[in-house]
Amino acid sequence: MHPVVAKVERLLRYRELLWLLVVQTLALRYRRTALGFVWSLVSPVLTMAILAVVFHFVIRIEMAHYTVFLLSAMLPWSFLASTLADASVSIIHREDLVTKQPIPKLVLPLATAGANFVNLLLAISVLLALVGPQLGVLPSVAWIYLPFGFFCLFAFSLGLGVMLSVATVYLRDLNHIVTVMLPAWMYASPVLYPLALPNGTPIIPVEFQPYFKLNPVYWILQLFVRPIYWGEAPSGHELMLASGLSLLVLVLGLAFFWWKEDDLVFHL
Amino acid sequence: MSSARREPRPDPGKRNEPPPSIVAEGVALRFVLERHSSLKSVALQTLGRVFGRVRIPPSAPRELWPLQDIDLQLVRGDRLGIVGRNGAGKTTLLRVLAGIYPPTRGRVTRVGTIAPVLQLGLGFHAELTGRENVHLASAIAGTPLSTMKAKLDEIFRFAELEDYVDVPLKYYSTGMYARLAFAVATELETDTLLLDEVFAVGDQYWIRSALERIESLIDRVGILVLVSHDLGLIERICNRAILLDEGRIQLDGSVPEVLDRYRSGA
Repeated sequence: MHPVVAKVERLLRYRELLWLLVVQTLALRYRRTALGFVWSLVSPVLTMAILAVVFHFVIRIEMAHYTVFLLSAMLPWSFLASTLADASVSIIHREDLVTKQPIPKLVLPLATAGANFVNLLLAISVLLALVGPQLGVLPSVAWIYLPFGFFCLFAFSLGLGVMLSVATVYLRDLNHIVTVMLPAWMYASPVLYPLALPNGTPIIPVEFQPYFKLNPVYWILQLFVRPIYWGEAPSGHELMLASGLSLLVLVLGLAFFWWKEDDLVFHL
Repeated sequence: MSSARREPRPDPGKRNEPPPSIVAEGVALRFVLERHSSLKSVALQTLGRVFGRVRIPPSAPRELWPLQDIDLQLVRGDRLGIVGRNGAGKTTLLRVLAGIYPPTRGRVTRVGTIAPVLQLGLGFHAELTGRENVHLASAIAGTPLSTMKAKLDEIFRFAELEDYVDVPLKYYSTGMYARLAFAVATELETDTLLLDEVFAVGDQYWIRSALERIESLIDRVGILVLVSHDLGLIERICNRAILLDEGRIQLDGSVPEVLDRYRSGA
């Protein structure tokens, strides 16, 4: 049997563990809070309200429906950011499991990504359904591209997350580095502002824009910003780059993870 | 109790599957103790290399061989007791048999499912209820959830915790926690069970039923491996034993033979 097939088969045998870990992560996050699961919706709304006020009225990004832009870029970004932060400690925080049970270690970063993904899906659908109409977002045919966007976002985040989960075992500093780098990456992606306004006025000087486009997250975010904010389908160029880069990162991440999976127990 | 000839009941659902076995051939395990690589040491070494002049020697890695020349064959019906002094490599051997540590040399071949119990209550979370923790503990050990759900009542009845099924674990006393963990560990559905110093904790009455439960494993589990300093327990349960010393099998034989050698300190 091909080693990759064997790895996947072993993972499937532990699908119940994966499921329970996802449920446990979600349940523990909100158990014993008065609002419970509603927090997964309230907190992005409040965060975005604050950002909208700051960037619209204080920094004065003169952009129609700025909040909608923020929603379309911020929610996917928050998923990526929290998945990377959680995944990087997913193995070192469950050291007890890794050193005492022969579980497929991939379930640990996978469960963190899964729990965050459930949050993202809930938040984005509730926000689009409840808040969207108030802000002038109407369902558009372009939304059929959203599942593809979710797929690319998940693949990219998981690929990078599993890589970080292993690398942090060998270099514990990585966890702190990730925490520091994420906000910087957010401004570079860009999440809080577009490269150019709808009327074509550049926010980022045209000569610098190519550098922003070297960032894979830029292309993945386009799969959300295009349908939700602009109400249009992503271009073929954007679809190709986003899916190609996501799959590449996922494959590299899994390859790195499985290469080190048997060895990492000696470094915990 | 002499149960050396007792064969486990054949499991009707598994009639066509090959009988469980674990074979270790020439297994050796190496630990490399390097100074924990931190960003600082990596950066210093890189800088040292780049600027050539300052040579920061990488701290010489120290090697340890916690297991060497391990040859062991376990087949269906074997109930192996492992004895040896602290640090002899008993738990490490269980980890290698379970597949947690890949051997540095040699190989381990396994047929059937293996559930190691190296720590009672592994994966238990104080905020989760007894029921949720039982589900989690069994999933961690690879026991199907459907099996565990069917056994749930029996587990809580045995642990004498019928009223605590849906109570978060943090409201359990230490004894209650230990009883639940023990009840789960001895109810796992597996071909091979590896138990590491699984003590029965509780009042005298409960300890007696716990011992009976360990004995009942003889009938339910294909291969049982027991690490214990409780030689009486090994005499009651096991039909084979090995003596480990400094990572090597000093003696592989019958229980009385191995325990005699161990007691005599040779």
